Amino acid sequence: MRRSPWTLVIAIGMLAVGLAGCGTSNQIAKMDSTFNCPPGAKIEVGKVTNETGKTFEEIDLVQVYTNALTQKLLAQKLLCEEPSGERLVLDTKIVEYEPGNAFKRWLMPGYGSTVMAVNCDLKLPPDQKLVGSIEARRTVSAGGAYTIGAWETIVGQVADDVIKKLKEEVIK
Amino acid sequence: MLDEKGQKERWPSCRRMKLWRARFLYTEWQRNSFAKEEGMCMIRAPNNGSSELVCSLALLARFVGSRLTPLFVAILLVGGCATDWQKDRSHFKTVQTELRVESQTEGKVFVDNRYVGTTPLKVPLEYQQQVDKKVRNVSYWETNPGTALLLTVGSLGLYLPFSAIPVETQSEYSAQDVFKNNVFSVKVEAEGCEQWQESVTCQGENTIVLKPVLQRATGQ
Repeated sequence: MRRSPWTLVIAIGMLAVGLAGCGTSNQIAKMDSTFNCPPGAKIEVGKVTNETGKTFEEIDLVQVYTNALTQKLLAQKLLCEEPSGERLVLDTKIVEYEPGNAFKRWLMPGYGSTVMAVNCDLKLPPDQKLVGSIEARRTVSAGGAYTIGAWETIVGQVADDVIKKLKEEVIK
Repeated sequence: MLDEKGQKERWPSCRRMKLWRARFLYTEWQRNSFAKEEGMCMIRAPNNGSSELVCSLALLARFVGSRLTPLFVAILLVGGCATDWQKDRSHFKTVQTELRVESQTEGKVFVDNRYVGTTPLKVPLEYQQQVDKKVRNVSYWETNPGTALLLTVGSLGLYLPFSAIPVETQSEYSAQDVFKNNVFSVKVEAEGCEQWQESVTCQGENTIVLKPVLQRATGQ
């Protein structure tokens, strides 16, 4: 059976869409140019606040994000469990959160997107000098049934994005 | 090719391609680069890497064939469909200004009646700066042009008319010159000298330097 080259192009294209994910993620880190991270410094999870101006019945955003960040830092061996030694305090403000809807996303890409954005301040104890900030935003904007639950998983993904940026820019 | 002013037209990287389709698409893009508002929907040329997008589409048109050229032009036209920016809510971000206190006589420094050290010293002053958030709805072409293109090709063009609907929310944050908790009372005390006090207002500066002149106390 002779296949049209178009079939292959379309199949590869759709596979690429499926595998590449269905949203965007971006992170920005702004660090104090004079700051040198102490060797072996760990990260203490500081204050997490909800600055979205909304409350969400389905999720305790602050608690879920705090838990996700703590677990992921622990897994990366970056968590400072005792408030002593070389450490940086990471305060987080959740500035944007939209739970979205998987059915809407399936209906039309971009419609019913799940969105989360955080602004983090990195402070150096004991005087809590601000040494840098990290902004991370992630969206899940397309997909069907396999994006059900994105309203919860996005929290962990944003925590991952923040840690990735921390490792790239701070704890090298 | 010369334009109306007799100057040579600027062609970005498309020039090397020497394809009439590329040229056609580029002209289309130029013609649509002046935004025209239609109610809430603003039709604009794509604003993210638009010349690269034009060139890649032209390249695609070259290989796909002339019958699909109108499709790619249509993609260009729907790519910038967006609603107007709307002001959403604001939040405050933490900013710091470094305060340096340098005096000829060594003295104890207090910030808001809290002892912070002796001169000369550096101390960070922390306060809040307002950040405004604005939002608008954009089409999927604006946020994920690659995926939108693949969906269009994958659905054999069926997705294209729907893709023009601005359904995805795009947000932008901008720091304002509005601060809170940014006034600090700085006091310097030295033995045998009169107390020195000043109010410091921080507005996003990196450093503020104070050089208090401590006067000998009367009767000393």
